[in-house]
Amino acid sequence: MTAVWWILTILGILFFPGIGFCISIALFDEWIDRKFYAALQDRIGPEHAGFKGILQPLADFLKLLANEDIEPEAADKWGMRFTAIIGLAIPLVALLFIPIIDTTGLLSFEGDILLLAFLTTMIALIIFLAGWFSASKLAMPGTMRAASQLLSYEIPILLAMFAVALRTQSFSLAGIVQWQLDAHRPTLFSLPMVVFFLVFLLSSQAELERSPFDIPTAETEIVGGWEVEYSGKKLGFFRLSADLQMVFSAGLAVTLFLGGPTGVEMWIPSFADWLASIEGVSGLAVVAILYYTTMFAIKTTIIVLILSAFRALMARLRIEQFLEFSWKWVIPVTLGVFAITFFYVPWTDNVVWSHWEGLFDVS
Amino acid sequence: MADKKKIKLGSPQTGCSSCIPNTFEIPLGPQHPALKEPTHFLLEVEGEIIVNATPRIGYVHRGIEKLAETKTYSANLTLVERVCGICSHIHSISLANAAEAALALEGFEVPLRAQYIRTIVAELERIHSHILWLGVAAHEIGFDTLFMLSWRDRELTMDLLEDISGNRVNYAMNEIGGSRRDMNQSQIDRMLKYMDITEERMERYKDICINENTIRMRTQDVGILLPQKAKELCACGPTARASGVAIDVRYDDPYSAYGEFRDIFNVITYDTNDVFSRVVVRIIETVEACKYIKWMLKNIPDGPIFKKAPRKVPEAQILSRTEAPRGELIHYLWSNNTNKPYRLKITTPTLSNINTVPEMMKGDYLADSTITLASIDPCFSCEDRMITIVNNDRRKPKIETWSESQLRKYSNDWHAKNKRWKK
Amino acid sequence: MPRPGVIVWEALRNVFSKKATIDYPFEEGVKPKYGLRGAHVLYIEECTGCRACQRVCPSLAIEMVPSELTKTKKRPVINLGQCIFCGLCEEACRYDALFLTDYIELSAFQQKEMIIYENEPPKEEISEGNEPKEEDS
Repeated sequence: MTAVWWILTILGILFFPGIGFCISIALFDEWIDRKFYAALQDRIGPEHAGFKGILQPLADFLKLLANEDIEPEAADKWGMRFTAIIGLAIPLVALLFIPIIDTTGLLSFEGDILLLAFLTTMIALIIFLAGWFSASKLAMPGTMRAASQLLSYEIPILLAMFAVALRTQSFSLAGIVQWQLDAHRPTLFSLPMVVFFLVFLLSSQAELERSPFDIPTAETEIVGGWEVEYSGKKLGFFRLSADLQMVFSAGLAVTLFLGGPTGVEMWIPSFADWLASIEGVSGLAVVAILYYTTMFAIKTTIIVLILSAFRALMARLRIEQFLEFSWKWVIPVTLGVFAITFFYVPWTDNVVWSHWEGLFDVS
Repeated sequence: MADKKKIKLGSPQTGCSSCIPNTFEIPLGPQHPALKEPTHFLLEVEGEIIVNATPRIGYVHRGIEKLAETKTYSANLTLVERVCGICSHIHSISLANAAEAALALEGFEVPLRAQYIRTIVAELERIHSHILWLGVAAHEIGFDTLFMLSWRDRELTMDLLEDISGNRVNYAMNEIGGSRRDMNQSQIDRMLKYMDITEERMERYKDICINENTIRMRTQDVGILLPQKAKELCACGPTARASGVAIDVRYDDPYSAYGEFRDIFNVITYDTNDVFSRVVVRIIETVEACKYIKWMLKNIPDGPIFKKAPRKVPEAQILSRTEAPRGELIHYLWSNNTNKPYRLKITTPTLSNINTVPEMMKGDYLADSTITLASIDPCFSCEDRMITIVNNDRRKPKIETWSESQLRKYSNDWHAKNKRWKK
Repeated sequence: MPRPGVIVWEALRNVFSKKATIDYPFEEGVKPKYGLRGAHVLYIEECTGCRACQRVCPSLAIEMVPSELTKTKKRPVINLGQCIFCGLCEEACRYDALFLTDYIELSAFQQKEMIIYENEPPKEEISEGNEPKEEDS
């Protein structure tokens, strides 16, 4: 723990793989999302701020920061401010655990997948509190919808995450990425994991409150739902928080199913060896960092493209239709496939089986 | 947690006042992203289920009927076009028909080619109004792609209207005694081409709306209006036709050139009585309108498009019915042998249809309130009346009506106070 | 058979085709070649000040002001802010003095910018036969 290590870690949290980089990739992904969504609808989307409108999300965010901040008389004002800041902080903290510039995240420990599961739930709870504190008649149905929607998408997400943990024998994201490197294939290419990948994307769409699951914020039904009373800086924070959540969900999907920031070295061992060898060399380490970051950005963008295509294709469901869909179809299917994974994986490869034998030996 | 004293979520219906209220009120409007114009619905909801809805109209009353009494007939044609932004041409047809019916008492006749041009523009207007409605309805249920794509295809019709009339919204095509602009052969060819494209696109949207599962989930069994109730509440236009009531002024009482192709005219009805049936009825009507336009363009007679009408309209009381895109439109004209109407009464289709909305909303989910309201294709600026509400209880409003002498006194006082209001 | 995502192929085709949006102030907009009803142009040497346009105007957008140039010593001043572009004045003019052009970019910062032909053009220019300059509005 030298002074240099501390300085590098703090700089990392603040700038490159940390807050600054995450915010810029969030704004970039919002631009990608808006451009592609517009293209699906035969429009051109943002066009004039920067190259093809790439700075438009940043301009929107800055504009919201400059707007007047109105707080209702009956609302809990400190509660509203608190939720806006916490709502921005949670996805930022969660993003520090995603491996971006390396096969391990900036913060990493055995069991961090549990912490991430907790943080995703916290985001939904913050949304519930945000609607509750604003004390609006239109926010109240949105809040209740957000709470009931939380119950139905959280279980599939957790099941998908733990299924990957079961498959890869690791409760840390670094371990999951390492397993995929060792097995020379992404987790997605194991048979039951395809189902979990689809379920994870579907539930992410619900968690991000994007169409067709934008039920808590349905603009044409309840005027923006829980965020109706938020304006100015607080709304800007929530919008940025939504972008960060999108990057977090896409990044988590990439890490769990698509091999994280690794790329072709999965199939070319000599390239992987070379990447490992330049880890310590100061000049060439930049190459490795750039390579990993590019791979992560490409994969995240692909996931974001899938999510925005999904957003354009369907009408919004009603809340009870979504609950019915979730509890009657998604959760039973996920549970069933989880059970299959539990017994199927040890037979196909001996990974878990050998571990169990070891367990029984100890006892 | 927020201060409970300050939040008044609702009033308990029965029982002690300290109980948790079982219903609470959610206002829909006057400002609401789903409403393109201001109106107010007070929804009493129990959880997510609407138990009662009370409409309140009158936010954009503009006094057009009174203003019409001060203007000449040719100026009134442009005035009544401003009643509605979307179905503007049909208003001027209706007033022109009324005035020409009065002139017909003296043997005045409108050239047939002018009637064809009027009817073509009216049907083009129906196409663009229905496609606009399809987009709005898609937006209400959160299907923005259908919204954008349908409005892209609406541009073809808007371009045609701009080409024919010179304006995109208020066309100013009519004059008492004929039409103001003729159509040349290149315009007719272009229209035939565009109508083919529009018809093909509308067939595609019909496929999408019938096959897309999420649209069916959001529209089927929502906003039920039974045929019996539709008749009781005086529904008209596509709203009534979607409940299986086959009424269409174009077929029942043909005006302009509609009598010429009455044998190929179809009154579109559908019998599931819900929002889905309104979607289907409107889309099929658009396809039919394309066919009528193509028939008219092929059979349009040669001849003059305008016959100069006398300045003064003989004394008569005329009721002119036309079929606007939203339903039956009624202009009641009382002329008194001058160049200005003595009285002009306009009844727009939304005024008849707005009564059916509370009936449709009852028992539905809160999420369906906006698509149910949108399903009648409301146009609130058209239908606003001036009413005075005496008591403050919004749920049981007691409405005072003004007598003519009261109105005259009010008008005189207002004009005495606001002299030289123009400049 | 009802299924979700019917529109998918059409939406994906849109990604690769030319977009329907016209980036209007930066690209040229679509408008018909003739017949458009836009801002007025007044040939004051033809105008007799007969008041036909003023009488026929439904929205009272035309006002007659004293002038040295016309026969009746009156000339029209047009307020585009009140004009509804119905074209009745163009049809009412028997001397071919008043026309609607296809100039439709009429937004302005002040109300008085919308009033065109407010100032009388100098007499010399008219006698030389030059066309009166159309004001930017």
